[in-house]
Amino acid sequence: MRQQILICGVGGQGIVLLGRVIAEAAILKGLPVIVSETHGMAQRGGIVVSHIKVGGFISPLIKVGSADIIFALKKETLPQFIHYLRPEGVALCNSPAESVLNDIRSICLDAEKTAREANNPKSVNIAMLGFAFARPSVDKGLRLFCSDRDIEEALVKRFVSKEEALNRTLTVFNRAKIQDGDRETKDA
Amino acid sequence: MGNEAIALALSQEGCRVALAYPGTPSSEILPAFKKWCEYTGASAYVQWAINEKVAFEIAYTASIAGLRAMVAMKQVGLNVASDALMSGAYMGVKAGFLVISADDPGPHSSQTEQDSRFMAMIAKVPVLDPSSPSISMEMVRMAYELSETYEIPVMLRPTTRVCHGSQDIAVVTPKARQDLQKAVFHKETSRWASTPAFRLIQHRALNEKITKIGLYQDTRPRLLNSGKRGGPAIVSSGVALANLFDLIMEEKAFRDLTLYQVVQPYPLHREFINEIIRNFGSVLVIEETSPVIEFQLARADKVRGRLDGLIPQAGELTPEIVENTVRSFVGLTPKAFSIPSKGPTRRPSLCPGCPHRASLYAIKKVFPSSKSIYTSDIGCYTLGINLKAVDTFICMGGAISQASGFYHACGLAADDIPLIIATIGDSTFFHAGIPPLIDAVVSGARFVLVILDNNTTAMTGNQPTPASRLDEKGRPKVSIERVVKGCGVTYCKVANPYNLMGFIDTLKGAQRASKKGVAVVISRAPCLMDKGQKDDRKTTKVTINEHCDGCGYCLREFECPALIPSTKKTLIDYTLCNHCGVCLHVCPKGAIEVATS
Repeated sequence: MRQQILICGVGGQGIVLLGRVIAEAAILKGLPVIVSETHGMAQRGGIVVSHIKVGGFISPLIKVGSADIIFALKKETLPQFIHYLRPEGVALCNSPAESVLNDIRSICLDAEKTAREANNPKSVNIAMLGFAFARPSVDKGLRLFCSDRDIEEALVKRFVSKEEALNRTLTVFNRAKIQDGDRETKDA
Repeated sequence: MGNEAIALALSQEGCRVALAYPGTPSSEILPAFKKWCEYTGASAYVQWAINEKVAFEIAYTASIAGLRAMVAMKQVGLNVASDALMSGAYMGVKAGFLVISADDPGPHSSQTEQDSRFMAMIAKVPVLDPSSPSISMEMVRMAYELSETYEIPVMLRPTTRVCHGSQDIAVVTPKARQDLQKAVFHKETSRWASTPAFRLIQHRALNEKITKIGLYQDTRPRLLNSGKRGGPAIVSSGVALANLFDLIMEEKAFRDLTLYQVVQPYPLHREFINEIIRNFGSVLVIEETSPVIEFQLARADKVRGRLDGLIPQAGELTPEIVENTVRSFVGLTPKAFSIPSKGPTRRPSLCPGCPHRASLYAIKKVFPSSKSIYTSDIGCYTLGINLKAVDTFICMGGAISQASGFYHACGLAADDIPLIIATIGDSTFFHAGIPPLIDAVVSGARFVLVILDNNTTAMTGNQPTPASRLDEKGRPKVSIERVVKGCGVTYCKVANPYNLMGFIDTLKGAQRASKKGVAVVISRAPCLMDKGQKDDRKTTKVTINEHCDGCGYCLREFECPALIPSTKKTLIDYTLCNHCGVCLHVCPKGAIEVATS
């Protein structure tokens, strides 16, 4: 299994943590993984990008046009990174709007809303990860290299001896998973 | 993370003395080393030094006293340490000594894209160039062996993608080494206190060492893909090699290219140079950031790379650039990678509530831009460019010398001296600001120096400063104001920038005092990101009232991320706001007021 995942957003959204959780899920499955992220000035509110390459890569960077999945935690960053997506890839974007880009490969779900509803408004990153397993994403063809159980296992490992934080995180993750993408209330 | 992997290897290899000055992307090496030592119970001396030169000298000295040592810094830090590096190479070492200089192709967060491998070449010390976190661990071991075999400092040159790359690495639980040596210094005046006559002898000896290292088998280039003899070959190192390797594995068209990984770019192995020129029809060299290997292979008729313009002379070698370089090299048309033209990008800015923003805003109020020159320095406050409160910055400590420079240059026409205001952070002041301050006093320069003292090295992740370390009575071990006064400055005031009106008065006082010499204001308030400091500010919740017409004055002049532009009325993002209340003084229409609820 080889998969290339790009996460983009801005400083403070938990992109580094999200990359770590995905990488740990890969390690739990016995898959080699390499992650590269931007630091430095990004810590002062600039754009943060994380490249995650699962399954026997040496290069730490994703080549333009070869990402299988993009997670855009800030919708404004999607147009700046969509060119990394391969033709058959899927881009998941955090946005309350129906679509951000006129690109059939992208799908929008409101991670802020889900995180808020789960009483954990800062967990936009985990909500996005949960969305990867939600019906609209799966319908679009998004298939993460691991299962939701693998992610849960990685989270349990991550938050070992921090039970409260773990439970709060799992609540967001599970709520995001069952997101059906129904927007009728908004459109009405 | 690559930096943690390097640190683990250092502890496994028995490094006993480790020093560093923080700088992206190298900053995590030292704390990770400390962590590994604590984990294994290894005894080691670990210290953040005042600057890279001091760090180098302390670690180097431990090595000549017989303990394995290392010093870590970013590439521009190596400039500061280079004086000691050049002489250290001549005198050599006893126990293994590693100089880790992290480069930043891109550059992602540096002033330059300079290639530390060139510095190794100038100093005539070998340099190893890791292509991944895992190989950097192997290279730490090789570097120590090489250093001890030839009694020479060895440089390890990771780049941002190695330092901040993470990878799964199988690790045997590290154990503290039991064979601990005691430091012993054997006096040898002709070596450790060598006068120019001895330096000539040492230089000859160094040349011999480098010639031998050019034949040292352990660091010989590695054949990663075997192609046709007489055909094209690619020679590469570092992260460029990693990008190249995946490309050759993925694209059938490139399978018959011979690929070599250079482990030690300088000195490039003699036999390898002969072999590659003899055995291959054409040779492409791909490396970051400068043509270090290529210069040593230079044969204009055969070797392609940066020198003949095939590879761009600046910027990071991304997988796309590497692929198109290889395509051009083998005579294929380059691919058209669709890269969107840069849309509106988010620029980095000072955090909401940052004390620097208040200081810089006050400076603009007292010293209007049209009549002033703002010299600044390296740190978070460089982002004062967004507030238009920074006109120049050059390198660590440069703010103060540049202020002197403007004063003396403008002073040649005596009636034409603008107001000059230098800003420098506390850690940067200690690092390189003290000599130029003494110089300014002695030369009679007149300007206002504002030391932005947030009691931490903030930009690189809140490392300590000399003043943030306390003595047994809880006072700073070194007080900035006492240093300033010791430099011969007579006017030195401390003020809190959150008290904006009081701070403005202090600046006005400094302006008057600067007619006689350098006047210093220490703007003191803790960094809000530093969890190690108590945040005992008086907080104020603010709101926007009906006077706001969305003119954008506060956005331009104060540039707080918590102030959000909107078509009608500026908004406050309360999830970002840190309630510093300074913006209350910003709106000329009085539209920002204290919230009643």
